[in-house]
Amino acid sequence: MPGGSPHWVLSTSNAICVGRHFYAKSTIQSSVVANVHSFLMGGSLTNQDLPETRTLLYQLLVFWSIRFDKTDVDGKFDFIVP
Amino acid sequence: MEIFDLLYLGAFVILSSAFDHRFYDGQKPPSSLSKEISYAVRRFNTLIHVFSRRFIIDLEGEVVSPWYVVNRILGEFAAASVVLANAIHALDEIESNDNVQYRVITNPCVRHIEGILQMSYPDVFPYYSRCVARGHKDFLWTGPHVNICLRSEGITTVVALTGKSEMIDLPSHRIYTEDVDLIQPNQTEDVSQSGKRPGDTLILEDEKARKRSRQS
Repeated sequence: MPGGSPHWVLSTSNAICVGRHFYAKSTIQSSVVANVHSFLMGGSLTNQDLPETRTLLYQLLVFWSIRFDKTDVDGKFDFIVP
Repeated sequence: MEIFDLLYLGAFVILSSAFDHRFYDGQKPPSSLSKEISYAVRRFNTLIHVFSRRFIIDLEGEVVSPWYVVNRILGEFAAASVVLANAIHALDEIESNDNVQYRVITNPCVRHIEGILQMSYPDVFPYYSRCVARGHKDFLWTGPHVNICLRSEGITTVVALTGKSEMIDLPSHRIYTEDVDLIQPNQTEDVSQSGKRPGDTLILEDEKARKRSRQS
């Protein structure tokens, strides 16, 4: 489910949920826009503020940058920028 | 990776401190966090520099610098955020519900965004201001279709033969206040060498291609 998708959790009885959030490359555009919306709308939009996940976005950008540096135009790892 | 994935992520990371509660309420954010952001932004700038050396961008038949696309996305992304923040603020003044207390105070956020742009991207700030004034709401790219071509000697020569060169600004949708493409040929080298526009090497290559054709 991309970031910013309206959703709710329904259970038949009281429950403790265990799960993970993650950023998918295929939905990164909606994820960054949802981050802005979540920050500006705050508690009226989301029940969780997860600022620590920002680190994942910073690291993802660095990772893409390094990967792009070390690949050729076809995405193969055989070209290194001097 | 799609180029727009990268550009939106880059725009968000540049502005990310404005969308983080750890930078508000008089708190001093962890130095590691600030360093992490500035390192990611530096890597993003490096990536765009490498991109601009390998590829050219074609918009509506005009070859433009990749920095045009980057700066336009940054300005529009920032403007859409501020327009949304102002709309929420206006709504809060009308409505009165329990959720209001969880919303961020608009003014500090807007000041923070504008501070980032004025400090680090002063060329983008006037365009951002114009977007805010007209109530720009789109976070995503609103420009023409982006064609990306591998930068090669052949394509550089073809572009030169058409009498065009890589433009810093798109004539049909200018984002800079000055006409930055009206630079005299002898000034072009200075601008490129100063690193002011790291992606605009095609202009120089254009000149070289013309000299080569004259010699032959």
